[in-house]
Amino acid sequence: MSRGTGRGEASRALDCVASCSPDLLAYFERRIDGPEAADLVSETMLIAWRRIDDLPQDDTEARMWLFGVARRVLANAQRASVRRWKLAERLRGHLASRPTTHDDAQAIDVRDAVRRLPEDLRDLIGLVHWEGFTLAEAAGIVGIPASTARGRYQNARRRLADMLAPALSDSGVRGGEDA
Amino acid sequence: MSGIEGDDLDRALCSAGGLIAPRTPELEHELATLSVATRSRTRARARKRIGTIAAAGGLVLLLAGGAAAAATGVWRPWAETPDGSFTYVLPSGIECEERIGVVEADDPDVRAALQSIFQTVDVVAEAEPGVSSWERRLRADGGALDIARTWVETGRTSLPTVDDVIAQMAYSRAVDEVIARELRERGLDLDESGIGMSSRGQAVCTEGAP
Repeated sequence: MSRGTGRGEASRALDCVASCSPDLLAYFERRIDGPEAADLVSETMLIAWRRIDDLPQDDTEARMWLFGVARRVLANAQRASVRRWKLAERLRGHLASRPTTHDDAQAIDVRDAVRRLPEDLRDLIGLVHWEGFTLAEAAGIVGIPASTARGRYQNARRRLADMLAPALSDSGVRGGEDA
Repeated sequence: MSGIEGDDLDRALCSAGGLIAPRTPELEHELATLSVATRSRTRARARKRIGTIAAAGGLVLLLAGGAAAAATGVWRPWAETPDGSFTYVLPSGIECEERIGVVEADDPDVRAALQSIFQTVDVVAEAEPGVSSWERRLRADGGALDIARTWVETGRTSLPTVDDVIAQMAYSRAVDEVIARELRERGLDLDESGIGMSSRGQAVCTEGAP
């Protein structure tokens, strides 16, 4: 295998990391509050560059690999305080000065419900519904068999539906069933 | 049983995931800069561990000399407005044009200097004396030969022979050296100062020997 040795490979790696970086930022922004997402993106990139020889050739697999790195960075950050990277200073400043987006009550309820799910369920929901991975790809990122992922995903959906029933009913989010 | 329908849950999840602020050119620029900065930092630490091919090339530019980028197709969007370009002829008579662009550097003077070099210096003529030397070095490097063979055998390059692939790599590295020399003469020594920079390269080659 000749991964990571030629200049075409280096160019491809840069393309891959650069093109995924907005999605990586969004991944962290959905899961933590504040501009710390910038530091997590920075840390993810640093780890990715150190291990760039492991970057898969296939674009989809490469994206999955990057999100696998991001997932571990997030898990570490949730266990300890986020390390502030000088490299991320500019991006952190940009995020801090950015106008806040309108966050409606229902979205807050939904995200709160997702955060209250156990980690193994929460990961699958987020990767599928927010990062756009298929369930099989999400299973690959999390490192579990697809059959296990299917069961956990259905379990997560059932729990979310139960948790969100009052909020969604109140806001009338019932396809054509507004009472 | 849950109190809401599956479609409702899908819609709610979709809505909750779409709250991230829109991508702006400023945000994309900051992310691109961060991508280069993290890469530069990692490379500075790993410089001593870089393999024979990369270390020998100085890694000034990401030229397409990875023949994986050589194609008979169209230019990528960024290559329509490159920072520089040059052409060369491979052993089989195939002519390739290589374009450099998307130069991101810690020092903004680097990009301007690169554009100036391509406008004022015949980089291929300057590089010619070093091409054969680079071909010998690449052939002596088993890894480079393996890469070239793999690309030809798997169709990752449109170039038909290993000789062409090696020659293209040699041209890229020889031009790379010329660029590094010209930058040094302009007071921008990438190796010594550790100025972080990155760029993209694409080569488009003719279908076959003329």
